[in-house]
Amino acid sequence: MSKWRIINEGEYSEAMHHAIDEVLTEKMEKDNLEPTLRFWYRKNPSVPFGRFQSFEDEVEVKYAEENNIEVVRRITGGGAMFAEPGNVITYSIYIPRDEVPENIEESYEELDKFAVEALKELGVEASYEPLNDIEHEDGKLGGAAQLRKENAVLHHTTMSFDLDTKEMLRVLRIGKEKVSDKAVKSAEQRVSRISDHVGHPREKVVEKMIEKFSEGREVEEASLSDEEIEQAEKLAREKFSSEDWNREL
Amino acid sequence: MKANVSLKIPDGKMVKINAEIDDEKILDTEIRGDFFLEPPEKLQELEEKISGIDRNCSKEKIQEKLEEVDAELIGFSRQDVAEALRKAADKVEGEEK
Repeated sequence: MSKWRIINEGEYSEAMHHAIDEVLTEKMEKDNLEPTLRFWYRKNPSVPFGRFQSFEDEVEVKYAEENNIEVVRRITGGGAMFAEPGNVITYSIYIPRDEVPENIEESYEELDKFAVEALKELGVEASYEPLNDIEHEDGKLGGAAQLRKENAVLHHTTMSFDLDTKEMLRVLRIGKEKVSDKAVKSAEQRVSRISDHVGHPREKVVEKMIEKFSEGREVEEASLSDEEIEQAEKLAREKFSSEDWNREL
Repeated sequence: MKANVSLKIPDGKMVKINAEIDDEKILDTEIRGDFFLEPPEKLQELEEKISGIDRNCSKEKIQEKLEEVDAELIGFSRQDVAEALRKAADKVEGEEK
């Protein structure tokens, strides 16, 4: 097993985070990166939405613009979500494809296992729900998404720590559609938050996750290199902040 | 005429079909949703396969068209897309009457 880099720092715009994901995944694809776990820190409220979703279907565009909510299309599929600094926990895993189960369902479960275990140890009855959800009996705690390249897998997960679910319903349209679906409870009810179940601050929860991740793995704390940051800044400007990309579909 | 159909797959994803349909053909078809597709670039190919087909094309035939594209659909299936598109075409026919 290779040594893992753990990056638990760096406050960036939403666009920059997605750019970092793409830069590191491409480096992994070229066998030019050690496996890495990176936790995200956000600067501003944002909506990351799925690669195959239509911008206008998912986002209350006017509300997002008026409230400076940064809307960014991901390179991964899945659904739209709402994030505010300090209110969610997001991490990305960049890993060689041959270290990930080929079975997609298994791979989601395996890659999020450390986080689910960490939550359980803190007293949050979290469980993995196929395909890509982390659930509590009160509702959905979070979700994951993957991009599979030939030699690399990007797996990123976001969990609600203390999400403002009312604000979420103002900015996301998908909430409305799921509410209208009789088979599903209201979108607000469907969200459960880590802070509803534990008293620990967010950094304690992240610390616990890193502790669980480090069990049975050789790890080192690391930072992004200047070169990685420069490449990502360029990509954030040219791609993830552009209408061409964000409003492509 | 434009037709939009959303299909919520039980325990799965939301698939939305937006299609432009005229008297004879299903023209531009868009496939949108919170699904996964590998490789992602194949979305356009899938859409092209079901654009320009006969409006009365059966669900099975639509699915066959989609089978021609080598891509992995995750959280939804070609059958789901075919079903949604068929519904879209039926919806247009219903509105015309």
